[in-house]
Amino acid sequence: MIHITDILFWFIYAISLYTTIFIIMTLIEKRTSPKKEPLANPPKITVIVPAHNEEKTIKGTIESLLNLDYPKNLLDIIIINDGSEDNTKKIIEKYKSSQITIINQKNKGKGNALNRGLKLAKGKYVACLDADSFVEKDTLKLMLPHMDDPGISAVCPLMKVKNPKNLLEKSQWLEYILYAFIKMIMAKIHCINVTPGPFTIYRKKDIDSIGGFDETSIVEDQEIAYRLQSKHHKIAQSQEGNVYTVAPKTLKDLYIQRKRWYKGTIITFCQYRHMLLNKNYGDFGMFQLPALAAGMLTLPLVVLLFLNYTTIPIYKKLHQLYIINFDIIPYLTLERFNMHTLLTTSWLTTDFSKLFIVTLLLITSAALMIKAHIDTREKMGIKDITPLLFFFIIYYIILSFMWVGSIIELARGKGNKWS
Amino acid sequence: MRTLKKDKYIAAAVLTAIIFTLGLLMGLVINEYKIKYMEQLAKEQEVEFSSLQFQYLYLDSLEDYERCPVVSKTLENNLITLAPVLEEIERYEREGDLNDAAYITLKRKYILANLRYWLLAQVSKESCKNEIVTIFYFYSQECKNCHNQGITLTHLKQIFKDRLLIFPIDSGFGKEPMISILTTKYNITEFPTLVIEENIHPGFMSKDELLEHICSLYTTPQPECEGITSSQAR
Repeated sequence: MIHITDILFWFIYAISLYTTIFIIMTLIEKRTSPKKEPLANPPKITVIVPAHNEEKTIKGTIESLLNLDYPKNLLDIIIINDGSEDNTKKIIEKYKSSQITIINQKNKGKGNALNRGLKLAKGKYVACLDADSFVEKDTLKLMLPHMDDPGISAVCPLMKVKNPKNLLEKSQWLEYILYAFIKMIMAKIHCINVTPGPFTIYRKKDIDSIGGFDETSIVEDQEIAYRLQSKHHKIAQSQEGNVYTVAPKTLKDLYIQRKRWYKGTIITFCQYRHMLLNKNYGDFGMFQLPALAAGMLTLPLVVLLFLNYTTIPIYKKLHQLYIINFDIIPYLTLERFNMHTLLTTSWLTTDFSKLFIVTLLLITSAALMIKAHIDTREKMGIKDITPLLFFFIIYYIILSFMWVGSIIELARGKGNKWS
Repeated sequence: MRTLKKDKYIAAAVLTAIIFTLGLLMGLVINEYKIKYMEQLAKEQEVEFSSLQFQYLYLDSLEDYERCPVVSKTLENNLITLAPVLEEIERYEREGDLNDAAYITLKRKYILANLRYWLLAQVSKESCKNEIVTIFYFYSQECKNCHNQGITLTHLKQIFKDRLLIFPIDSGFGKEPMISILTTKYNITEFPTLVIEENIHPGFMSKDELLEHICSLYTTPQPECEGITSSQAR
């Protein structure tokens, strides 16, 4: 008899395997990387910083921008205080100068703030920077050469987690590295589906031509990437330009962040569903979106399987104890440990087909993780074994639960606004 | 409009299929080995059975009661190895790894081996005056309470170890005539039914009921029965 969990398992394996193989094939494809020589004629750039209650981080964000290795007269900064109720206003006012424009407005949402900045921007390129993120000195210089290709409308930064300390932050650090690496690969076949809030650079005329940011979206950085894709604009991924962002420190904060992301992902996906399996959109329609859809379906299955493998055995054990009136004394004697019996039974009860594919996927994931660390120039040491194990075993299960929670909230029509 | 490399999609699909097939094939090959191993185990078991029977008859003919405990011990040791064999056979049935014919043969052999054990136990009890209680446990795959009954019996086995011999009989297994002979003999109509030393107890028996009953059947006081035998002493 074939069990339902077996079917789910094989389904997940098949999808994961196909996706992994496709990604590896893309990884080994030749790519045309941008020239690395310094820019002869640096263009004018405007950086828009939308801020809503960011008193803790905005100072560092602005300082990092001022510290950029770029001609001052070619770099404008527009800070939009989107109705902050904390000290954000006080902090930013100090920075007002010919280079930095400060705008205070009532809370109208991030998309609105970005559009307001976009209207005022004079640069040929516009960069957005979330007020909880920080650029490195050479980030801009390293990212701009991608724009030499006129077909490219946006360049994504190499997003990393700032000073990860606890296990949850470290997991996100690993997640970001892996994600950045996957994005580098996906950029080769023009399949990027998010242009992150921390320091994506846009070609202003392109973003104007598609009508700026969607003010109703809760994930305006995803929505604009989809819109760019739907108009066949290309998005590049920088391999050098680092941006550091503050990661949620607690599960609760992570859940708040992910709920918005995941709900936004579903909403945006549905908005652009006409691109799914549509050959006109190239690999984005034929691979990226189907893979995303498969991922969306797989995550709830992961939750189901997890529950199946944990709660059912626990329930069975409890039931067993109940039947024998919780008389556990006969079991407290030391049984003779028999290695031979143990090996025989484990050999007989192992499903080698599953084991083969699971091992293969684990080895591939590990290899990709190592490659990701090399390509993003992040160091991984012996002390990172714990976060690595936590990341691979527990973190994804946590995310799966958050994913399911987000779906449930979305279905109940709760909180589809930026918060 | 964008270009699409169809070859890549096909190549990825082919590679996926190859790896999948490899995995499945490996599983199949190893399963073959597993089945062979199981069959080997069953064969060894059979030799073991006949050897035991012969040993016992030989010892019995000598009327050498001094050797009784040794025989009982061997009996018990073999019962321990027999229980996991059943678990494995049944697991194979659930997962469909074993074809029907092979499964039926294995299970029949197992049942017969078990019954032979039962016969040996009866003789051993009579001749050696061993403190053994034997239980026939009639169950069926569909029965609701059988799972719970199984748990209680396993628990009691854990308590009494070699002084309690339990012989599970899968009544739904019609391929072995001995089963219908036994169900007719004990007039089994509902499941689970326990036949404890020729006393028939239809329906689920709780741990306490069973413990009380088993304790009443030992002729000498058992440490596990302290404080339980009193109600049976009436």
